[in-house]
Amino acid sequence: MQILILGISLLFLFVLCLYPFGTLIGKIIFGSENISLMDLFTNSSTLTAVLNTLIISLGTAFLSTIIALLLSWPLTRTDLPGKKILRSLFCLPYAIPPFIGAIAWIYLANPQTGIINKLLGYSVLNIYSYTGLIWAMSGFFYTYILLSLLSALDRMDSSLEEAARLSGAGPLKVFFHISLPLVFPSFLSGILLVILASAASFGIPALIGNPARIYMITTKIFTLQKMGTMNGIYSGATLSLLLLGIAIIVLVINAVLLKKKFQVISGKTARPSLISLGNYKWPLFIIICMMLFFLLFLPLLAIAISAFSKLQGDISLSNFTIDNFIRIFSEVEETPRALLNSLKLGFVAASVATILGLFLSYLEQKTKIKGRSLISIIVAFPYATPGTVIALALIITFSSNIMGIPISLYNTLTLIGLAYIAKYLNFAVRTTGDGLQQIHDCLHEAARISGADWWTSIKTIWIPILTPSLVASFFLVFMPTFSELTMTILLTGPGLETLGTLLFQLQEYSDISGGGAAVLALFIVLVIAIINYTVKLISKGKYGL
Amino acid sequence: MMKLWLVLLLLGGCVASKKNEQELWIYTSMYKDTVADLTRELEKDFPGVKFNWYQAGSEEIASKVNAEIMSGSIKADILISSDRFWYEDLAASGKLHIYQSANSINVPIDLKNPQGFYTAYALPIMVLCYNNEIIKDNRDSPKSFSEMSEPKWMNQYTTGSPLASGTSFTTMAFLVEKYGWDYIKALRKNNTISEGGNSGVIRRIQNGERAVGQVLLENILRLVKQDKRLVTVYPSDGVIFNANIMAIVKKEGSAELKERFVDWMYTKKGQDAAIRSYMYSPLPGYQAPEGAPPLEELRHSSFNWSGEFLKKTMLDRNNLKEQFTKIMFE
Repeated sequence: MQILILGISLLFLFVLCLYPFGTLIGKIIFGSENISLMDLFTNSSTLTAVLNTLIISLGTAFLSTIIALLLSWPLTRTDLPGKKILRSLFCLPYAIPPFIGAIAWIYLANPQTGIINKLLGYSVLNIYSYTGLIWAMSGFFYTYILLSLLSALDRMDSSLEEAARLSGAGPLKVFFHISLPLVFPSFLSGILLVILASAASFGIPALIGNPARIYMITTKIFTLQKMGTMNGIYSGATLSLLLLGIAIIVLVINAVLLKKKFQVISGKTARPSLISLGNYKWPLFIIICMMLFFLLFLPLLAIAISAFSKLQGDISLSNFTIDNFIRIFSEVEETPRALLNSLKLGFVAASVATILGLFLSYLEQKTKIKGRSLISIIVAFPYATPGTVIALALIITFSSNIMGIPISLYNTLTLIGLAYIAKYLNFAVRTTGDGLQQIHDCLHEAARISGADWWTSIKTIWIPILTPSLVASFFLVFMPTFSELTMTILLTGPGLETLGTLLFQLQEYSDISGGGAAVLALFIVLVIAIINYTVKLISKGKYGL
Repeated sequence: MMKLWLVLLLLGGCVASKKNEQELWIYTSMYKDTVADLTRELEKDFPGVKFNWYQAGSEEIASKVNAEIMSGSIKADILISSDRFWYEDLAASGKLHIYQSANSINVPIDLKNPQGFYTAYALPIMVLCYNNEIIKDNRDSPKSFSEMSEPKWMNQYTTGSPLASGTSFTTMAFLVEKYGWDYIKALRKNNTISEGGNSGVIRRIQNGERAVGQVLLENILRLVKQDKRLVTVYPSDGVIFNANIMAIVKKEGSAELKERFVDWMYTKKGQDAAIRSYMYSPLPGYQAPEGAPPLEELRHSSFNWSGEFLKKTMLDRNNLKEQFTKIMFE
């Protein structure tokens, strides 16, 4: 059983994360086009792109870390009012489709007519800048670090904190000297995810970076692919090797930093006793609410204005309408089909990725199989690769036959689903891996000594302890796939509309008043909030974000 | 291992079992409502044929088809999109089927391939548009493409990106041909935003981020009834005719159905659908789209598609995009 399941997991890993890229690289090397790697990698614009990518992804990781750290302590260890609802809300920004989020920030903070600038009376904010780009990206990506931290802090044995506190340490000292070091692996892996995610992201860099003339590797790849020649396509794919390089460096750093392996015993520990904030309670509450306002409500507000506007860019009561909602939900015939397809794809991809991720991180952390440490590097490949390149690799690999078997997955939902799993498996492996890290082997050994077989111990010990991580992993995969665009647009076909492609259609082509895309974006955030709430309701508040 | 193959096989089996009806795969960059309009009419005239549309921007279509070429077989039967130079490429590499429909004989010679690899199905045109809440006095409004390079339009102008949109590329090629790279350099100096497709341009004009934009007439005409702020300018140095090119992909087997489809697209029904979507017909005798001036009025002052220009631009396409990227984005 153990061998079969783990074997299948490895096979999936190979088929999804290695084989397509191998095929693509094979085509590049043995294809008819001659690409000079030296020229491509050493020309000045490539170097600028690499430099910008480093600046922006490190900057985003830095800002995201600060936001997440500021939030994680009050949200887990204090008696802050409204903690539960605040936690859910702070996880929502990532549900906003990135290119809609970027449009919202352009609307709010462009130097000419940004609403915030207008309100302030003069042009203070310029979204078209390094800071603007880092801010817009951090507004999405801090959720990775926050989620990692929250679920790790929740699982942590709080008796260590109690001990420190009894020895006279103040609450912040306890947090920074005891709690944070103990959840360091999760914390670090959250930060690394942000670095990888921002280096590989496309939507925000295109919409905000291009007008600011800040080039990143992904936007550079896009321009190469759009040169309109086969040479351009191959060059773009080749350049994505640079992103793989960055991914490998990041992961090696991770491995080095975590060299001193430690395990934290987790299980059914006492709930951490909450620190009373006393006089600081309400001031802190107000600060936190303001953060929420800037991270979630402000961009949502910009989207809502667009959704309720007859004419775009006109803010006045006479311009208010609900026609956009009526049109999207009763006239656009694709809406129900797109919603259904996206739900199917999101659920299947998030479930499969989470289960697969669990087994793969089990393989990596709890077995002694040779080469196991490669797993986290291999799953990072597709994640670090831009969506267009993944789509290309999958079309080449799966459209005529699959490793010799003559069936085609081209123009099927299955292929889109596989693309999602390949791209986001990294999240699942990392998130479930963080969970596993906190389960000491002794629990497993105890179960085995008591006569449980491998599966029983997985079922009765691992999964219950891991459920928060599994749920977090599910949502981390579900949220971006629910409105994914870059891969889907190339893999989609007749009848295979998803919310992402519909959103794009409405935004780019077919929606007369231009508010339709905003309506759909609000709807996407709402659906994710509802699913999260339902999970919480069913589990009586135990699980969910 | 065996079991897994079986599962995969079953999975594929469900996917691969298709009904034995005639079907056509059409990849197009035309708008969704145009496609819906066409499908309604087509289904009446082609009973028993299933029309599968893939609708996306010209550049996405090119990406998808290029990926299909790499995988060994093109799924699309018919291509209709606006990057004419890409079609020249496809024709040169033997991917297109030669067909000159009797119905499209009267399409002017500069709007089709002389060997019959493709013909223009409809003509979107590139014009200027401004927001009259920002430019209140008509006398201050922009008059020509060339004027947009003047310093007075600093921080005021936006275009689509030639890398993202086929019509923006065509326009850029014409303008560079006429005014040279200095024109693009001046646009850059003016902090022009060149990003995305035509709808992005309209969005920036509507929210006031930019006062003037280079945009397709059809995008303006679709909105102008509700949005009185948008004003069309037919540039005095000539509008730029783009072409929505239609071509048949070369495949084994009979091309009869595909040829019939192309014939139909040049009938009155097929052409009227394009006009309803605010594009001009390339055939003589059709009226202009609603709210637009007659074709003849624009045609004499427009930039011309000479065979020489076409060939030069096709060969130079990569270089043009690279140059543009260097000047505008880096």
